[in-house]
Amino acid sequence: MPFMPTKEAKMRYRRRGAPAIVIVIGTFYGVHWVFDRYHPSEPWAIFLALLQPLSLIVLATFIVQFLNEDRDEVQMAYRRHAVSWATAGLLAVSLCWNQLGVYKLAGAREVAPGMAIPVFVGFLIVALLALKRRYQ
Amino acid sequence: MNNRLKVLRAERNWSQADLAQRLEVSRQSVNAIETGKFDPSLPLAFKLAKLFGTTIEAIFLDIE
Repeated sequence: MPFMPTKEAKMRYRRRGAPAIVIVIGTFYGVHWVFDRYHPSEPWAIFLALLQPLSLIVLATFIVQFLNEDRDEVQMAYRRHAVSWATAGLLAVSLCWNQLGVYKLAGAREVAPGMAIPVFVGFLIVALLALKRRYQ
Repeated sequence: MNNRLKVLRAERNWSQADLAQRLEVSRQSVNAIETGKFDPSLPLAFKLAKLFGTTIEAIFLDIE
């Protein structure tokens, strides 16, 4: 399978990382659900607000671990490159949307933090397709 | 970086898939290295040299 890590690496990663990623993504959306439904006040609100970016950092760590498990260095470089572009794309969209929101321009609405993951995945797919020719 | 991988592979009648299997990488990776799209790391270059029974300098040529 050309777009996946070597079989052994994939199995090692699945055993260790997959359940943890489910918990991390669950935490990410769970925090949003708690905020939306219960409107917590301090100090819980601060704790929960910190939990969400922390879960993203953990997710990023898992992505890096996943990439490091791959012994196929060309594919690893290819995916690292794509992840870098996807991260840059997500940052660009976040900054731009925040700027529009701050100055109330272009009818920018509030977007749930949970949108970060689908946006990242969208950029990742585009980056993988765009970089395919360069690496393969 | 130019290389002689295609020639060395052809001398042994190996397909890209055969070489990929021996190197434990994907066929696409062999193609990327062979066409000069990707320069392999030193450990992979040594692995290639060992596989072909030659030196790294005999495989990879420092010509732009």
